[in-house]
Amino acid sequence: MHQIELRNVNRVFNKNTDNTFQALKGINMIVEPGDFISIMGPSGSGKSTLMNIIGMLDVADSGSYWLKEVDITKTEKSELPMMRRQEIGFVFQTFNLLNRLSVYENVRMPLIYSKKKYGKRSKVDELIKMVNLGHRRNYLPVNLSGGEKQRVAIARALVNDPRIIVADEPTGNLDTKSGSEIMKSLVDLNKEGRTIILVTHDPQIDKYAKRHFKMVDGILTED
Amino acid sequence: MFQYVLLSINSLRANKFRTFLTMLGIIIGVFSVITLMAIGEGVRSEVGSQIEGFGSNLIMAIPGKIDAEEGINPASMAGQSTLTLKDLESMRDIDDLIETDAITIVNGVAAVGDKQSIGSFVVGAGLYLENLMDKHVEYGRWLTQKDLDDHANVIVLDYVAKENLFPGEEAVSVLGKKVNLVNKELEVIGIIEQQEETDSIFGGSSPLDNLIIIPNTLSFDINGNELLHRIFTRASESSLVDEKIEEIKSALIENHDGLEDFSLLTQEDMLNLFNDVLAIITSAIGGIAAISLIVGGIGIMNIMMVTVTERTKEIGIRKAVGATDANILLQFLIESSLLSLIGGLIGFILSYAVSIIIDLKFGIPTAITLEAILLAAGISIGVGIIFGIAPATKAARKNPIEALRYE
Ligand SMILES: Nc1ncnc2c1ncn2[C@@H]1O[C@H](COP(=O)(O)OP(=O)(O)OP(=O)(O)O)[C@@H](O)[C@H]1O
Ligand SMILES: [Mg+2]
Repeated sequence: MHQIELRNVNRVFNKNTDNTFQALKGINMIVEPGDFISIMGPSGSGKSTLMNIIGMLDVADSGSYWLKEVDITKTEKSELPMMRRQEIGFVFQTFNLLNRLSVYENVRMPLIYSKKKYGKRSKVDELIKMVNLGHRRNYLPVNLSGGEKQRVAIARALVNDPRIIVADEPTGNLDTKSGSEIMKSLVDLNKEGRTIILVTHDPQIDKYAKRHFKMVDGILTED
Repeated sequence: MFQYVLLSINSLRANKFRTFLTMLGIIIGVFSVITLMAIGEGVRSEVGSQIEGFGSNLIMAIPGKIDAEEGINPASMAGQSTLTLKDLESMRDIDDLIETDAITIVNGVAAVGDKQSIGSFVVGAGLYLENLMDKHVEYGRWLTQKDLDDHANVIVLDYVAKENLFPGEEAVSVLGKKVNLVNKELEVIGIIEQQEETDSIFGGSSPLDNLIIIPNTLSFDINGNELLHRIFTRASESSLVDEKIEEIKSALIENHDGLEDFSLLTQEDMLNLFNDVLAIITSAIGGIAAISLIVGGIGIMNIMMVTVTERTKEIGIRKAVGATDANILLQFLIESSLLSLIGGLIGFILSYAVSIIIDLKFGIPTAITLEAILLAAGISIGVGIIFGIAPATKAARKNPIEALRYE
């Protein structure tokens, strides 16, 4: 059993209108536990669309998406948030922190929605230390550098202990130095056995991955 | 749940002024509902028990015709009284009526030096009012026949009037002191003490307190006429009440040259009349309160719609980390309910303060009951939920990808 298996996945936007657009064309992809995958490709080629489907924020129009023996395309929509919470940690290009919450509160935030893990304060602090932000615990995001913000986002992605990290251009808004720090964190997480699926434009970043994919006009190929 | 409350407090605090403005409608609505209830409940229980204290045999004659069907005709109540000493005598001549007495309202303010008894009800009375109204002299004595015959310059104060005129003084030591009333110097002969604790939870005085009594003959001198404003009597048996009313009616109609320009009320009539008046006032103000609650609710809905749009990105982020539609719905519903509940709480505190002031300053009894507290909480949470549903649903239905892209 694979960790993730995409079979002939298609995604068509604005179906049945004049500007209908097929963003993903027959995607096939198999991901094994512990993979470190990077996906490169030109802007608009469908990389984010694919990440959203893998992260269950979006649903394929056809084809099947198997995640741990479950066909997500046939799963009740109301169950997707629970699956997402347990299996996927998202890291975004624009960090997506909540500006009114402190570093600590941002990292803890996903726990509000997962009853069984709620209250693990020590775990939150552990993660904040792990990304070297112990001294910034009570800072608001506005007072953090880009690299620090992205480290908060990584800690937040890990708080539910997901097996898969989906990172859509995590270094896109960072300078080279902060970018390589983030990549080191991702490498460490991969060494722990977590699967990393990364989108990037940057060949330097691509080098950290173990498997390399190309996306062109909605078609995915492995190098 | 608690987490959502914290989240809501956090976001409401982020926009304090806007939050306050949004609450105004609810504050006013809850304030008017609760203040109204406090006054209504207080007056109802106090006046109700006063009227009941008269006993079920009581019959009262008042000037003007009150039609049970059409309610009170205000015109008939205004102007000069139509009741005379002759009416009083006629009623005294009827068998099986006891302790028949009348009051004459005197327009005057009692004063001692620079201290005035504001809001006092100054009346001329005869021998029996003490028993009829169940207001008994504790120190000194009530009026005597001699006082009436002599137009004596004497005065009986109740405990409220005594406190106004002689603050802090022992009731006994007030006896024999002088009180000024309309150019006359009157000697205090009796003090009526407070009957019993009122049942309002905040204490306070009853509407028939703050009473000052002088001989009716003296009140005629002051008013310059011998008109009576109320005649009270009691049937010796309650089974006789209806029969006696008919007898009084024909006697008085005869006195008034065939004109029925007075009304005869029993204790039950008085209670009904009083409750009718209270119900009219209550529903009028209740309507205003309902409108302000609806306006307040719409204000909340409006602001919550704005909030949901402003926080589109936040909604996207929360969904991306695993929040369900129901989680988001609950978060915004709790926020709107909390907004409304805090408004309700402020309204409640204001009305609590105002009802105490009304009680102390104007002597109108108020009572904030447990029902009122629960009603305030219920109304405000209810408004928050009802008017929060639309914005919360809008938030919950947001597509996470589009929400994340929102700037
Ligand atoms: N909700 C949508 N409705 C219509 N078209 C969409 C929608 N989302 C994405 N697209 C289109 O699908 C194509 C792929 O978009 P996607 O965001 O996946 O590209 P990308 O490879 O991530 O590009 P970039 O490198 O710029 O982030 C684009 O042409 C985009 O305009
Ligand atoms: Mg993209």
